[in-house]
Parts: sequence; structure tokens; C-alpha cells
Amino acid sequence: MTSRALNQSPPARWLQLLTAALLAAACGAPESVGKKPDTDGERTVVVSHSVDMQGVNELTTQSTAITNALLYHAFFLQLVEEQADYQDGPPTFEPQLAESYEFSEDRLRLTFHLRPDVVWSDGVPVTAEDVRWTWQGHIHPDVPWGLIEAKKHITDVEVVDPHTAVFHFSKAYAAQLQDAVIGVILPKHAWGVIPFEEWRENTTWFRDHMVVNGPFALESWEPQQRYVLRRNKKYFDSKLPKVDRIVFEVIPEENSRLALLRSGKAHLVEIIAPQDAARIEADPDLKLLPYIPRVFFFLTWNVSRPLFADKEVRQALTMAIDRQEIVDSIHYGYANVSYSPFPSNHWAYNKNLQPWPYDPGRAKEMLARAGWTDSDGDGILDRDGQPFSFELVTNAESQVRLDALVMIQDHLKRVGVDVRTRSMEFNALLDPLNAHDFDAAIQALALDTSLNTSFFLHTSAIDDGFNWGAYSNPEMDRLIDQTAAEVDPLAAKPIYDQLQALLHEEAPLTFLYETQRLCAASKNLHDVDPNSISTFFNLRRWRLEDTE
Amino acid sequence: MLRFILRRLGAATLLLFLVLTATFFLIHIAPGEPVRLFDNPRISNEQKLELRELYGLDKPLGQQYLRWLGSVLRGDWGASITFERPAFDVLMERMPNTVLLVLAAVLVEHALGLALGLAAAARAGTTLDRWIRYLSLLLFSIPGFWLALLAIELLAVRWSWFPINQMTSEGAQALPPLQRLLDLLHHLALPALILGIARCGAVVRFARNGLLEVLNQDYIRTAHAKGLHPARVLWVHALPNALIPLVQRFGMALPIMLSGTVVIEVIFSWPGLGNAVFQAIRQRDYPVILASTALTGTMVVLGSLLADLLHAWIDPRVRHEA
Repeated sequence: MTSRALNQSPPARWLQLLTAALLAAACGAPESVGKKPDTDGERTVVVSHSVDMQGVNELTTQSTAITNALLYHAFFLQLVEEQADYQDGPPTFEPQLAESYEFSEDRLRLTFHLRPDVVWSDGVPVTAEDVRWTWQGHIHPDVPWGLIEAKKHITDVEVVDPHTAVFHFSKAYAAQLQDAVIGVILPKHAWGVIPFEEWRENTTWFRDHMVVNGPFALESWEPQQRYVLRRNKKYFDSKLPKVDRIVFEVIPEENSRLALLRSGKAHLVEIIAPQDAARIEADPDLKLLPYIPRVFFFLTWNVSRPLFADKEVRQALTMAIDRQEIVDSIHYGYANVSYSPFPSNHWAYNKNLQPWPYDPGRAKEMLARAGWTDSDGDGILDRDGQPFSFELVTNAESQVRLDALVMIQDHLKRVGVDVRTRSMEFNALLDPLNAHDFDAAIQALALDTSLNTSFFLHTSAIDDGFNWGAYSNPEMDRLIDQTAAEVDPLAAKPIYDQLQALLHEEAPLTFLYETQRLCAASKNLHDVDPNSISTFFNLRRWRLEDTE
Repeated sequence: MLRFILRRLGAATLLLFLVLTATFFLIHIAPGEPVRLFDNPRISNEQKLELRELYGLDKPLGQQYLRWLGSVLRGDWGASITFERPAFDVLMERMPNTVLLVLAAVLVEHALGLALGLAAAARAGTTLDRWIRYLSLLLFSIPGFWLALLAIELLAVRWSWFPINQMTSEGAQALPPLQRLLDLLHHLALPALILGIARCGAVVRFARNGLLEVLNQDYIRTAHAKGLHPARVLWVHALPNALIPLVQRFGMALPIMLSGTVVIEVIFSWPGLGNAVFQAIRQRDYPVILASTALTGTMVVLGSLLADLLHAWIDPRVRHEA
């Protein structure tokens, strides 16, 4: 056994021996116990993980866990892989199945040159035919793939020769490369046996017919217990992966998940709660790996309700919420007050803005200017005989949001605004949100690389999207459309700045805070690089130190 | 007797049908939908409609109900949306795991509860009796999940005596049968103990009070008067009668435990029914929810029937009435 983590403690062995002795005495069959199957010399990493794998074919498996979807990248290659290096400029792409790519002059054709040496785990070469066939699967109406939108401007994928594939676009736009490479390349020769029309009825078939081209293969899968990845010996880069096996122990409960790491029986937990961070820092065998995800937390005002129609009122409410206090008390400092949907370490982030300050005095003045005063002396502001009172909802699964809910209620009470709180199960909460049948809600959304803000800000997203607050502003729509049309992302930077400034000024959402994700790992696990794309981003380069 | 059983089963089938119908409409009327339809901002409305059509969620509710009922009568519970397999298969895979956990826990519950309860009754009024009664009250009020977290912290994290999660070790399938069994028992120990201990408080009370009541009966006094050995009086004359209420409780313990295991299964990642249903409800996996309702409903019916039969077997008065 190479890792300290997997050794059993003496009492555990002793207990096992005792049970063994008892049993042996009972059935008269003495046998040696406590020896694991012969995996000596293999480097096995154990991950204490929250969700089970749902399927191996990402086209038919829309997982609720984004990180889970990224595990497919362990099995299958993308053409090129987007990196999380978006701090100073748009992200770069690392060659994977394709060693290079180029756009035609009019940007309507994107040519990928495939590595000649990549083979499937059964020895069959990976070719441009696989690329074309995978795209056909992406867009097939009977599959239907959840991310089909990404492919809507791709008109054809042409096979020029076995190692050259050309993507044809109906128009040029910024996210063409991202859209082309989203989705891993699947094995035509193995999975093409089943026509796309029948994929939905055969979702389990794929796992029994796994043929991979990525760094790992699936060794075993015990549903709801664990799944085990094993190094793919035919992976094109013979130096990778650096570990032989990765065991994902499926543990839905948060405390038990962390307990497995702390007991030394696992090497990594993807996300821990901020209140557990100190315990990890104090443990000499563990390390904390924080990073900023592309997730933003906000309070959305339903601007179609008269109460929140006025931007001065929204600004005042924002200033009445002591966001720093929320950050300090429920995030233990692993967060900061925010004013933008973009992460603060992102190149498109507008650094020239300042978050609205916590200023209840000014908030009261602004509310008074909007006609809200406490005319009847009951401690609650009123206007035309109506009290300033509304319901704030969030989803019950998140303790952090529930805590924030109560704190915000308290903050707003100090300026004379009456908040009734309500929590609902997330699945149930989506109904009133999508129907715009709520006053205000605390929610979170994630951005992808395309920096598309249309799905929660654009007028078109009121009916079809996540614009729950029904915010509609022609100027905002224009800016969003401009960013989407700009082919060179860097050239769009001034527009992104304007967009964020307008969003800040208009305050249809009150940005609450940007949190850090806290990944925890044992110190002998190296080169883990959890980032906003995935905790398992660097899986193939993970390295286990030989300490014992 | 046979007629009694048949009549009970007939009534039970009708009850099950009503429960299932009510569940069907409740979960469909309840807010929310299979969660996967929403989880990505890039999924368009059009796409969602297509997925709804795929799962038959676009039809009027009455029509969905008839279609569901039709396939259930043919023995098809539908495909699980989250597990991507027939819902009934998912549950049947989990069932033995939960039954194993429940049986082990019921064993712990009754062994411990009876031992403590009878000890308390035999020494009624002494300090031991008082302490046992305090203890049973304490056990009765401690939430199982709290006990579980405490046990994990001490027995699994600090001292590493027991595994924290799952029902087998990684790679256990490759072990010889005896070691596999040991591995399983090692994993079973903690959740079964916690579940059993958290529930044994009531058994202590039942056993103690039952025995005390019997010990005050005239026939016990007669037995003593006949000069029988006190142990014989206790074990042969008093105990069987004292256990009657417990037997009735025992029959119902199985189905109650089936639903009571959810929390423990989730904490210990025990791949049982509770864990699966918990997930299914959160993801609105209708076929799994309905199939599990049918399954636990059946268990409750059979459990109470079993309790009645056991009761009749032990207590001749019931048999004669029947």
C-alpha cells in the first residue's frame, strides 16, 4: 500500500480479527483475514464524493451535478480543452485530440487537425469520422442532448481525411471555438451500433460497452456506493495519468464525507463548508485548496411588482443590507462583497466599480425621497397607506442561504422594511420563480466562458430563461447583444465594463457576495488544481507521494 | 384462519391502490418537476418540451394516470429518470440491503431492550431499575442522527474502529466468501447498533412494564406458592405472557424501521431503499417514488398481518375469537 491513508488502524484490524475468530469458531473454518486483494504497488487515490455517476454517455445523461459531468473528461477526450487561465485575458485551449486548429478568413470554417497517434482503448484509431458522428449525435432530435444550443450555428462537420475535420458555421461570433469543442468525442465504431433514435431507451447499454480514448477507463461501478477509474494504458500521452486508480466513494451526507477524509481513508473532498475550514487548516496531514468559482450569489427583486419598480428603491435596499456582516459570520471570511456577475479574478471584471456601501442612513433618505416614510409610527415604512412589506424566499437545501435570509430580514427591519421569510425546496421554488410569482428571492447562478449574461438579464430571458425578476431594459439588451456579436472577446471588454456599470447602477439584482469554494485534500496528494471549471480538472496529472 | 388472511389481503390490496392513486396525484400536483429539465441555463424551452414529451409529462394528468395504471397492471413500474433503469429493479437491488440493516437493527433493539427491561423488572424499585429507566428515557429522546454523527466522530474518525460509509470495502468482491462476510459485518455494525440503540428505549419500557404487570397476577403467586423455583416462575410462567405486547410491536417494527432508516442510510451512505427514495423525491423521479410507495405499503400490510398471526399464535384467546 503506497498511501498512509489506506492502512487500517490497529483497533480496526483487531475488531475484524475478533469477529473472524468468533465466526471461525462458529463454523469451524479458520482462515486468515484482514488482507485486501492484491493491489500492492498500485497508486490509488480515494475521493470522498457527494454524487454517484449517473451514466457514462453524456448525451443521454444530464446530470444535476456539473462536476459530475466533467468526469466524462476522464473517459473521453475533447478536441481541445479550455483552461481556467482567464485572469488576464480570454482562456487558452490545450491540445487534446486535436493538436492544432485554425479558422478560415471569414471565420465560417474551423479546421481541427487530429493527433495521428490516438487510439480507442480497444486499439481502433480515433478519426475525424468519430468527430463528425459525435456532432450528429449532439444535434439529433431524438437523443436529445441538453447542450444542443451550443451547436445551433454549426451547419456541418466535414471529414476531409481521417485526421482533419472542418466545422462549418452559419455565422461568425465570439464563442465559436467553445461551441465547437463542447462535448467529448465518442466512439462511433462501438456506440454507433445503436441508432441515435434508440439511445434514450438504452442508456445503461453504454456502460457495459465502454470504449474510451481519455486518460481513464471505468474499472467498476457499484451504484450508490462507489465507482473506480483505472488508468487507460492506451492513453496517447504515456506519461499520464500519474496514478493507477481513482476510487470515488459516494457519500451524500456532508459530515460523513469530511469524516472519511479526516479519518485518513480518503485523499480529497471536493467542497467543504466554510465552518470546517479551520479544522482542515489545523490538521497536519491535510491542506485546504480554495478557489473562486464562476458562481454569483444575488438577491433578485421582482421588478414587475410596483414595490421594486424604482431603481432608487432597489439601490436603497442594497445599501440597507450589511453584506460584510453576512460574509464574516456565515462564510468565515471565505467570501467578499460583490457587485458583478463576473468573478473578481476574471479579465472581463470591471475593476473600476465600488460595491454599494452599507449605509442604512442613506438608504432611509433614499426611501423617503421615493415616498416611503413611517407616517403611522409603527416602525414600518409606508406610502399611501401601504406598508413596505414583502416576502423573501430562498431554497431550503442551502443552510448558508437560509442564514443569509434571516440576516437580511434583520438588516432591512432596521430601516423600516418588513420582510417575511420563506424557504422552499429548490425544485418547488423554480415554479414561482419561472412564473415571476414572488417578491424577492435569494439565488445563485453560474457563468460559463462565453460570458453570456443574456440568460438572466436579457428581456428575452423573462419567458425563456432565468430572468426571474422580469427585468427589461433596452439599453441592457443592446449591450448584451453587442457582446455576443463581437468576435474578438478582448475588443468587447469596454462593453462588458459598461454592462457591469449599468447593472450596478440599475440594481435589478443585489449582488450579495462572491464565495470561495473550499476543496480539502491530504498533503500527500499533489498537483491537484481545483478551479472554476472543475475540481477534477487536472485529474490525469494528480500525483500521490510515496511516503511509506 | 385462511379466510381471515384472504379477507385481510383483499382489503389491503384495495387500500394500496387508493394510497398509490393518491400518491400519484399528490406528487404530480406538488410543485417541481424532474430536476434535470432545469439544471442548465443553456437548455431552451423547446428542449424542455421535448424532454417532457419523452417522459410523457406533457399529457393531461388524467391521461398520465391511466397510462401509468395500465403499465403497473402489466407489472411495469416505468423507468427511473435519475437511475436510468427500471424503477422496480432499482428498488429490488436496494431492498435486501435495507432489510439486512433493519433486521440487524431490530435484533440489537430487542436484545438490548429486553435485557435491560427484564433486568429492571426483576429488580423493580432498586437503584438499578431507576438507572435503567433513566437510560431508556434518554435513549428514547436522543435523535438517531445525532448519535450517528457522534459515533462517526469517535469510533470511525478518532479511533478508526469502524468504516464510515458504504456496506463493503472497495475491492471486497474479490475476497473469499468468509472475508467478504466479515467485511460486510464490519460495515453493518455501526449503523445497525446506532439504529437499534436509538430505538431500544421503548422496548425497555414495554418489557419492564409487561413483566411487572404479569408478576402481580394471581397465577404467579400460585406458582410461587406451589414452591416452584423462582427462575422457573420467571422464565416459563411470567415471561411468555409479558412478551405479548412486544410481539405485536415487533410485527410493526419492520415496516416502521423501513421508513426510519432513511436518515441513517444517508449518513452512512448505506445503499438501501431510504437512500434511493430520498434522492428520488428530491429529483421528482416519479416512477421510483410510486414503486417505493407500493413496496413499503406492501411491507406495512404484511407486517401488520404477521403481527396479528404471531399474536394469535401466542395468545390463545385471540385464536378462539378468530
